[in-house]
Amino acid sequence: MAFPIPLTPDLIAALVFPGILALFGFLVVAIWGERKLVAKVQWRYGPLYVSKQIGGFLQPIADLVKLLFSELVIPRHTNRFLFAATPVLLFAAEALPVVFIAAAPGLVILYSQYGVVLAVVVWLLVAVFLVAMAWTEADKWTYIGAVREILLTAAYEVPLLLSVLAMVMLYNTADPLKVVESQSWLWGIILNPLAFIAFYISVMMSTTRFPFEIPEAEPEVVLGPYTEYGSTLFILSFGGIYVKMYATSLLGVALFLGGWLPAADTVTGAAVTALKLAAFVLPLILVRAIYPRYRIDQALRVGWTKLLAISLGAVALSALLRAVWPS
Amino acid sequence: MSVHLKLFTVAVKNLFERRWTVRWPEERRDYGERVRGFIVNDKSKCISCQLCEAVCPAKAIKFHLEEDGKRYPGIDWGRCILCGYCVDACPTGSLQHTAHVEITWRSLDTYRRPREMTPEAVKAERGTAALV
Repeated sequence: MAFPIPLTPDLIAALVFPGILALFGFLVVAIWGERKLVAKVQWRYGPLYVSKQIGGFLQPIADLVKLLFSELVIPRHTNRFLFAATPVLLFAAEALPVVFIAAAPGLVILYSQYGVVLAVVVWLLVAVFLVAMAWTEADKWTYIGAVREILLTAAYEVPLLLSVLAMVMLYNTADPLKVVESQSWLWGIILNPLAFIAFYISVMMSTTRFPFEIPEAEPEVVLGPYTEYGSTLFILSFGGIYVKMYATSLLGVALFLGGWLPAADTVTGAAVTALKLAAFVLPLILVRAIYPRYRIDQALRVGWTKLLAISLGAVALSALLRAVWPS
Repeated sequence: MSVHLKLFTVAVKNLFERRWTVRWPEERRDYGERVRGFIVNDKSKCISCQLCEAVCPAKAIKFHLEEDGKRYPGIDWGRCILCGYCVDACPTGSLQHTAHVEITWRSLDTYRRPREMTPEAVKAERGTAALV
C-alpha cells in the first residue's frame, strides 16, 4: 500500500523530529528523568514499581494511561466549552515554537526567513492562553496562579527578547538554518556567554523550573492554573510545561549550542541535536533537587535588575563583536 | 554565581551517594538479633503462673486451657506493644522475644493461641535483610 501523501522532508519533520513523535517521547523521558534524577540526589529510588528491570521507565506511560481512563469532570458553573477547549489550545500553542526551528539540515517544519524571531514571539504568546485557561476554570487558586504567571512573564520576557536579539544581531540573520551555520567556527555560548545566561534563566522562568516555580507552587496554590483539571485535560495542561521545555530547549540548542554541528547530513544531525537537547535539559530538571522557591518579589527583582542588566550587556557585547569582526 | 556553582556541585556529588531507601517488603531492615520483637511462649518451660497476664499493660495476654490440662498464655499481637514486661516477669524464661518486629496480617484476627505460637509463625514471608 502506497503512502497517500508524498513524504516530503517537512512532513517527516512534523511527524518525527522535531515534531509530534519526538515531542511525546520527550514528554515521557523528561518526566521519568526528572523523577529519577531528583530521587537520586535525595538518596532514594525514583519510580520503580511499574518496570523494575528498566528502572521504572514505563511509569510515566502508566500514569498517562491511568489519567486517560480516569473520569473527566467538567464543572457546571464554568463555561464548559472553553473549559474543555483551553487546555488543548494551550498544548498546541506551547508546541508551536517547534514549527519554526530547524533540528537538522532540511528538517524544519515551516521554513521562514525570520524563524527564530517567530518562535520567540509564539512562545511569549503562550502566557495569554494560560491566563485564559485559568480564568475559565473559575477557581480561587487558578486566579492566583494566573496572576503569578502574568507577573513571572513580565519578569522574563524582556531579558529573553533581548538575549535572542543579541544572538540575532551577532549572526546577522534570524533564519533557523543560517543561525546554526554561522556557528561553524565557534558556538554561540562561547561567543556570547551573557546572552546564554540570560536566555537560560529566562527558560527556567518560562517553564517554571524550580527557583521560579511560582505559578504552580503546591504548598500555596494547589497547582496554580492547572488546579481544576483531571484526566485528559490534566495531561494536556500539565504536560504543556514539558512541551514548552522541549520547544524552548530546541531553540536554545539552535541558538547557543550550534544545533546539529559538526554533523552535516540529516540523520546524524538529528542525533547530534537530540544529544545537545538532552545536555541542555539536564540542568533544567536537576534544578528541582537543588533550589528552594523564590518569593514573587524576589523573582521579579531578579528579572528586572540582574537579568535585564545581563541581557543588555549581551546586546552590547554582540554589537562590539559585530564591530570587531564584521564577518 | 559561585554560590550556584557550589549548589550544583553538591547536587552532583549527591548523585553518586548510595541510596538509603529500604524497599519493603522485598528488603527488610536488619535490626540485629536482640530487638524486642514479637513474643512467643515455650510451653515446655511454662509453669502457668499467670504473672505475664497480671503485668501486661495492654491486656494482650489471656490464658487458655490446653489439652494437657494446664493453662498457657495466648497473646493478641494486635494489642501487644512489645514492651517486654511479660518477658521480664516470667520466672522461668518461657516467654521470649523473637527477632521480628514487622509482621503483616491478612486478617484482623491478630490473636495467637498457645498452640499457634512457635517462632516459625513470625518468620518474614519474603525479602532479604537490608543492612541500612
